[in-house]
Amino acid sequence: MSEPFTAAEADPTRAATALDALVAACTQAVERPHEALAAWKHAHPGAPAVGFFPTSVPTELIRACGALPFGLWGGPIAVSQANAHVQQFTCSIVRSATEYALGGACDALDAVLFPPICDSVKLVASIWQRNFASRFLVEMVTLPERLDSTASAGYLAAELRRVAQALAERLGAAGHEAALPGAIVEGNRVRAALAAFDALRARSPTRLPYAAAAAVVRASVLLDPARYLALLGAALHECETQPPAPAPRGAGRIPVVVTGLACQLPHPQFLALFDEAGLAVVADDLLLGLRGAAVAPGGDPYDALARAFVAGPPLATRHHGGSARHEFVLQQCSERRARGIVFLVPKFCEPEWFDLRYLRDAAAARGIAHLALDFDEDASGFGAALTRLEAFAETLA
Amino acid sequence: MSEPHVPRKLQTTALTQQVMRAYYAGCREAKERGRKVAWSTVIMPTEILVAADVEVLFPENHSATCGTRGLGPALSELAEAAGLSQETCSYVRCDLGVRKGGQSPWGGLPDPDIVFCATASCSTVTKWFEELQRHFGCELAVVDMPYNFAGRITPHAEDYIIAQLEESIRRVERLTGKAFDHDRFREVMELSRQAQLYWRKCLELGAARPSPMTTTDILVNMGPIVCLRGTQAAVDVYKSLYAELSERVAAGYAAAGRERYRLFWDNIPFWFALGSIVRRLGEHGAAIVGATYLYHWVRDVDPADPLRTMAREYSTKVTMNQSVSAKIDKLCDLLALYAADGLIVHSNRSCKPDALGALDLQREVERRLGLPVLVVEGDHTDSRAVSDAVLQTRLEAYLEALEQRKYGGLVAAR
Repeated sequence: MSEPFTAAEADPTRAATALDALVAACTQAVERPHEALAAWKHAHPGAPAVGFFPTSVPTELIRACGALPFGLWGGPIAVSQANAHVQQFTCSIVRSATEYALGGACDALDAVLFPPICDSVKLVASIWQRNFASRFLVEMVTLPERLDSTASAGYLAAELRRVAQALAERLGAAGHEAALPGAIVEGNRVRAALAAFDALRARSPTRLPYAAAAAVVRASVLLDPARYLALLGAALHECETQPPAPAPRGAGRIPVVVTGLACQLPHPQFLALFDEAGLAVVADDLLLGLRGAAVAPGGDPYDALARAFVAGPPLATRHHGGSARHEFVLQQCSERRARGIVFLVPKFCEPEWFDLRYLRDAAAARGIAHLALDFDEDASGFGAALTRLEAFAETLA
Repeated sequence: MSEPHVPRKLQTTALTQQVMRAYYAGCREAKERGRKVAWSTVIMPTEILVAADVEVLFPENHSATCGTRGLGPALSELAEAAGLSQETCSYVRCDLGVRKGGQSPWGGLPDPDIVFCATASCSTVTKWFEELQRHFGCELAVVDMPYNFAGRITPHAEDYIIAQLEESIRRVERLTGKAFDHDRFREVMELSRQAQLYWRKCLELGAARPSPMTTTDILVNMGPIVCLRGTQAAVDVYKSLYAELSERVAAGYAAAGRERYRLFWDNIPFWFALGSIVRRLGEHGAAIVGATYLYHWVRDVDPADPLRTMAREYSTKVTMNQSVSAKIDKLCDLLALYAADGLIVHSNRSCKPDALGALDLQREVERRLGLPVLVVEGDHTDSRAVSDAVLQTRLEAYLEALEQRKYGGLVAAR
């Protein structure tokens, strides 16, 4: 089995290329997020940091308060304390994130924002509110579940204004309203850079192992935005001006689209299975809720953020009306000339399990090969998944 | 050993059964009579549909009935074979199982012309009703009722819900081809208010010592408050039930016989094992005298301002759409009202909004009220998720703890 990038191998200060430096910094942050947070706090004495549950919290609200937006993820941790709060029939991200928080890993945060993306996250937010309110502010950005109502954007704009006010009061950020347009400009730059990176992956899918590419996307909500933009910008410039290096060991060849990752990510070793099986991931929906089109400048900034979210890419956890999700996935497949779709469904993720049934039907109706695998954040038991990915790759070859 | 107590049947139950039979027959004949049929979630302002003369059916209610008949596993297996994961709500799996040819006590439901859901109960219903829309090729109306995280409804959430209810009215107008009759709507809302008022008064009579009704009594009489809010028939049922229960309270009638322990239930019942759980508890003199589940249909709507009051009530009264802290506060109030000796919480794999937070709730109720709380994992209709032996052991261990807490001795002999 090929090894995923590890932080030990990837020291950004010794990187030979800008792409290596980007991957090294992102991988470090993804593998040891709380160290990344501590380093940021050390470099920015007195500055606040605000955690949020991916994937749909507009980070501009946090940046406008002068704070670091820090995407909270779970991870491959043995759950023990969290068993006293969150039952085992819930997804691993809410259980492991709660385990980390109970162990004090979030104590460096000044606030945590939750989007009500599913029933589990709604209730776990409420459990955090009961258990951690003395350590940090726990607040919900109550996104509309419906995005097809004429009232959705107006409601969301008012909700974003309320949350921004609550956050600013907690952080003592008096100038947050004035800073919001600037934060939107910065957010647009991050989105544009992520779109360029996504296009690069589509053009040169073997340039990076899948785990490294996923780490670059995920680190967009872990690293300081200015640093992230500098690293990603340099890497993109380098890739535009220099031919790709030889494909790394284990990089795939058969293009596939991966869907199901909007708010949760498997262990990097699981992602490495794609390369091992000879597959190249040309598109996925990791952090899709934060990768939409640019937020329109000018006008009321809360309105602009709300309209951008409502018009954003389709998520399993929102009601878009019609068949937006499967059309989006099939369009990705067509545009990127993928030969198949891999549905990666997080265990106990009810919205994804519902969508899987009709996505499979939609793929089958178009004659597109597909494979469904479930996963959690556990770091073991990948043998069966590799066998299935290899068998799938053989059918596509 | 004394003879087992045989509770007297409530006379109102016959009226309820008659009303429900007429309702189902009406739904079956609706299309022949040129009426439209809607499917709706049970937590939904269906008074809008009643006012528009649309017949309303409830797939959750149908699935629960499948559960009581022990059909959950077979229907779930059909749904799973059709690609729906075992990790999804078993109400949905029962519904899909019936649509895939499985057995239904009602012979299935008539096809809908439109499907309605509200998110106050859960987000699962949105995914379920999206699937129904695709299956039947009909229109879907979703009323998004934002999660009430802070314990109060914000003005923008209230406006958002009202705007969607107005959208729903316009959809109903398109469906029926008729202008919505707001005068008729106010009449329907007044009937709904009365039915919910008497339903609440009936539930509160259950708090009397001894309780005048068993869990089974109230569950067999809940059909009209779920399915027929906004009709005179529902008002008649609950006025009759209230009068009958009042007589029982005045006479000191103990519906469960011995009330050695008064227990409260949280979350949806194990529909397939309800009778056996009540019987096992009854053998030890334990009676379930109330349940949070029954209070999901207690809302105080104002017919003069129906949309705004519905927005507020659905946001603040449905425990699944509220914070864990708000639920704990409400539950502690109910435990005090019912003078409960203990609480059984169903950690329902198929209902995460009602199940998550149960472990915090357990500790907090024990801390505040000193009551023993049993959290038992299960499923409302899929009995494969429940081991009968484990359930029996957990109940017996809990009764022993109750006995020691209340009487300082061993559990009472049968």
